[in-house]
Amino acid sequence: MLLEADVHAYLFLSFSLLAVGVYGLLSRRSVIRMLFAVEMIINAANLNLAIFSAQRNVDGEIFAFFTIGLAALEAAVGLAIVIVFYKRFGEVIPSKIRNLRW
Amino acid sequence: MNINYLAATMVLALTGAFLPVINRLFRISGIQGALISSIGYVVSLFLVLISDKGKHVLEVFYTTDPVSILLGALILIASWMVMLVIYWITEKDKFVNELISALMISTAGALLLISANNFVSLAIAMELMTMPTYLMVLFAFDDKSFEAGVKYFFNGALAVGFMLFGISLLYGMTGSFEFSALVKNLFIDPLVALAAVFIFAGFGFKITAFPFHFWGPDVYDGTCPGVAALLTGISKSAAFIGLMRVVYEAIPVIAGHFTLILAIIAALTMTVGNLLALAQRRVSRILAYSSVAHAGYTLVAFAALSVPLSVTGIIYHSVAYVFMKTAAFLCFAVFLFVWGARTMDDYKGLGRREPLLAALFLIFLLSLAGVPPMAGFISKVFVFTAAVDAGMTWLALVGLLNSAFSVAYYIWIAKQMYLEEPTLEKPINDSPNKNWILLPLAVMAILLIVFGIWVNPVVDASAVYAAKVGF
Repeated sequence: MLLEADVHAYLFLSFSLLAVGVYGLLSRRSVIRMLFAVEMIINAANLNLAIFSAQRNVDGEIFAFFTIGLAALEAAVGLAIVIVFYKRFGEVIPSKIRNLRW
Repeated sequence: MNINYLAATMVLALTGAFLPVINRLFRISGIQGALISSIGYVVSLFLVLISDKGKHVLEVFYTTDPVSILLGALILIASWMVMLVIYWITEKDKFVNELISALMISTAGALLLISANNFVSLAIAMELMTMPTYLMVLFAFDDKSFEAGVKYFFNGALAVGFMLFGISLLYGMTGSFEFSALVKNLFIDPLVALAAVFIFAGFGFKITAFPFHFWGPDVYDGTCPGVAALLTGISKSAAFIGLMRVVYEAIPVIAGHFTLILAIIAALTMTVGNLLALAQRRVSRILAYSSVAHAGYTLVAFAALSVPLSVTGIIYHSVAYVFMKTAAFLCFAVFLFVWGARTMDDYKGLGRREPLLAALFLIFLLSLAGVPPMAGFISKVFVFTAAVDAGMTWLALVGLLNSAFSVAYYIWIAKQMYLEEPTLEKPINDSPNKNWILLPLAVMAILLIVFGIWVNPVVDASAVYAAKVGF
């Protein structure tokens, strides 16, 4: 009731991005893939902000810039952790390392 | 936001940012590093304490009320003591200045988080608080800390992603980033309710509430205990205050619907935390699960949100928690550094080896258990009285039973320290200036006892906040 009708397609897209991201994060196949999954979750939020901002006001677009900054920060810290992980174990697949009980 | 408060966070973050640079240029020793960062903490503490006067800026994003001044000062003191202990226990390590820099930036984020007034500032402040801790967890440089770091990073990223997605949905439905937009429109559209679920899931990860508690003990156990003190004490207290500011806008609208959900989550969180803590052999895991249980006690106060006393309960428990949990982990860190004590068996007879340190550890454990002269007792009194006032006597009874359970494992540690024969023969790191480390821990113990007796500051601050949100 609060939405225009044609937004629902975009909303479906952003929910699918979120679902794919959460699946990629929870399946834990490889650390690199999990890093991409994090980016997908944050970009789902970004997509939402950009779409809704076209209908509401300019606040959403401004917050989208902040969110892009947060995603970049997240990627920088995450890559640093992945590099440390790879240097130590020589492997990016968490399930192959025996003492990494998750 | 008051301009002095803003200056306090900036002084803290800039001191933290320039500490590694100073170390690169001049090769400072541990004592010099502790002095430089102490100057940053003292200036910042002074600015926080005088931040009830002066100009106001950025009022839409941050608010400076007595709650944020009180909690800000206490978080600063706790973080200062963590800094001193970390410098003491890792004097020879060459990355310690980078660690302290991350600690100070994270504390600046906590200061912003407890005064956030808007979902934009909440998300930014929470990221500023969390992001340095992802790197701090890796600081021990062993396999367990790498495991903890990967686990903490991906769980934290999932939490942040959920929270941002919830905020974006909320913005789409209401066109506003205000806290009040969430609760006022909660039942207009199912998507707003879904946004609320996402946002509270993000908070649930941060405060280790029941369905999202699994990462907590592994991370607190795997990293070095000085960092665990920051994660459990300071970050979680700040997250509680942030959650309080979100929930307590427009209470009459949501009180009836939220009470039961929050009560069930609170009961499950404390029961799970206490039962799992009873089954542990390692002292760090006992402390970690007891921090899950303490998240449950605070959620009891959230469940009682229809009465004004619950505000006092939340703020008092955050005040007590920021000292007692931080200090308990710091005591564990000192025992680990000096004696190499990890498990319950290692703690046998440590009361005879280190009488003063063991006495301080006993004070913090008794405060966690809720024994009268300390702040942990009076905060539990407020929390459970609020639950009874709100008509949830069963929840207060569950909480009291859990408190009684939790005494078992705290007293067990005390029994190992005082009544058993020593097993560890000689210390692994015996330094001549060992008594200096008692100073920061004694400061925290004294503050804990002062706040257990002198209730006025917290009660006054929470009365101002309760009047502001319309009780």
